[in-house]
Amino acid sequence: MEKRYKVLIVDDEEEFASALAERLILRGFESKVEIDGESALVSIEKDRPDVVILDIKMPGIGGFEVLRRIKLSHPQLPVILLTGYGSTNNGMKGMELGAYDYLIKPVDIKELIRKIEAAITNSKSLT
Amino acid sequence: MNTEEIKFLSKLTASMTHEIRNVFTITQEACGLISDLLDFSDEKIGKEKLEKILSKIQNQTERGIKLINYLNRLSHLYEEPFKNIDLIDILDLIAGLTRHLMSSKQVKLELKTSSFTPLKVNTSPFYLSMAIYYSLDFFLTVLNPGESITLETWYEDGFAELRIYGKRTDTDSKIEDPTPYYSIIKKCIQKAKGSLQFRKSPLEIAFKIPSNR
Repeated sequence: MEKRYKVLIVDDEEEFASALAERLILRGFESKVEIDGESALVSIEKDRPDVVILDIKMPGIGGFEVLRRIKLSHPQLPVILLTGYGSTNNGMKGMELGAYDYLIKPVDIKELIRKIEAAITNSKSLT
Repeated sequence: MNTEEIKFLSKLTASMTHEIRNVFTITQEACGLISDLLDFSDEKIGKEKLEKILSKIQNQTERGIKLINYLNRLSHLYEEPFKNIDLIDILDLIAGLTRHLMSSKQVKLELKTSSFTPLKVNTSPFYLSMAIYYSLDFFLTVLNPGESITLETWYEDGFAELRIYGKRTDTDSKIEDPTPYYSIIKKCIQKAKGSLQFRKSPLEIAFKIPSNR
């Protein structure tokens, strides 16, 4: 049986995140949504996702702080950032902080899948 | 137009367009999901499922229309340098425009209006809204998530008064230097034909503008 890779989506816009999660499930992934950074960090410890899709702008602890904490506790866990148009600076900053890649919203699902698969392949080769 | 005015318009535009982009992002994802369910799933899409997704699209459309209406009201408000406006109306507009900023900082905004509605003032809508915006921005630097900002208005002796204060849940007060905000807000409210009072304890910003009620 082919392994279903686990994707954790972290975004405070629940309607967006849940629709994206369903689309990933239809494409053979296991998908979970968390709408804030604190819950996401708990979820990572519990469920050990294979990749995290992380929105930069969130209330509470923001995306960059979540990324920093993930890199401290799970350095091999790839994180793909989601950022807004005109915020390529944020994407670049995220890469410097250890994100695997970034995408600008609204997201093209095919491009996202490509980046997820590349991120998982890359992290498997490092372990 | 100097740096501060440009910064103000830039912040407002960035905040609003961020929210509008979220509307389209959600709508696109919902439409993509319907398309995927038609392509990937062997079963027919259930009526309940389809209604749920369409309801998301409907909600986002309504959210987007609301945001565009706020922007439209704002642009019409700034058409003339000075005009008779309802102070309550401008507060409602600023509250709508800063909704995303408030929720991103997890701070609640409350409006307490006087019994004299509308509360007419002859002022510069641009500089009055800029003064209110920067006052809110200042309070966001001193308040913690879960706390609130109140905008209170009333009429007294030919003046419309607006009081802006924050409700803190702890007793520790952050020592903040309000000088950068104070000088911008003071300049704006003077250009809006009003006067400013700034109190440190309790922390409060108050405007007074001549009113023809």
